[in-house]
Amino acid sequence: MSKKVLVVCGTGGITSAVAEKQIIEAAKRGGISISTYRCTPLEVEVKSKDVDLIVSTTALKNQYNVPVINGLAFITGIGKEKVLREIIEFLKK
Amino acid sequence: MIQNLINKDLIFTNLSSSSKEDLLKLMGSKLEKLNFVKKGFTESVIKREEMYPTGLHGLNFGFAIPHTDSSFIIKPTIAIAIIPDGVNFKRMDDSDKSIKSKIIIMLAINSPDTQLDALQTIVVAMQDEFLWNEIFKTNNTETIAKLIIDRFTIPCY
Repeated sequence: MSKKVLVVCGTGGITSAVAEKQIIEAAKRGGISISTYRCTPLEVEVKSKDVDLIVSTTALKNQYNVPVINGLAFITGIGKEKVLREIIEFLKK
Repeated sequence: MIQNLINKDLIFTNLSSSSKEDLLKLMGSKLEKLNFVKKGFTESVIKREEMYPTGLHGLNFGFAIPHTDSSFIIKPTIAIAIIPDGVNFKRMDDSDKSIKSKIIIMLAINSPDTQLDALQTIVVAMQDEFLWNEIFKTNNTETIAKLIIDRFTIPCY
């Protein structure tokens, strides 16, 4: 079954799209089937209920029932490979 | 294509004493004046920046990528302000903290799916030591635009 990843950013648009695109490409390279969704921090509470992983470029103040990975590296490029590996390892489980 | 997103009229230099809000107003009003964005863009960027700040820790210095809803965009572009002394922006990953940002990349992007590559390349490139050293050396906006575009132009033989 394909894993579901929720990608979050402040405006629910640009930075999450940058992160989402790179996650999709990495999953494809790793031969992993995933579905991705994007939203703003206000929607995370509801949307996190149906996903396996949250990747957020913005600070999330609450705790959710799924792991949250900081996606800032997708914007700055710093430490991007490490974060991608972390995400792919999680999705392979 | 990066060439289509970089415009010398949207590169700002000599702004050392500017505050964050003045800076966003200056950049936003130029975008409005040149019809890249609709009226209301600037106020919306300022509001969003308060709610969801965009200051980021770069490789060598802080930078920020203020932006807002794509509904305000008429023609996609990127405005860049170079501030060697830095202006404080709240951090994207921790809004309780600020970061002195030396390069402000204001995004007026309406189709993330097609403009993403350009956006990410610009953000990563701005942290390229060689490029920013060159950029900080000059106040000439035409030179800066050319430096950025050249950084991405692979020579064809």
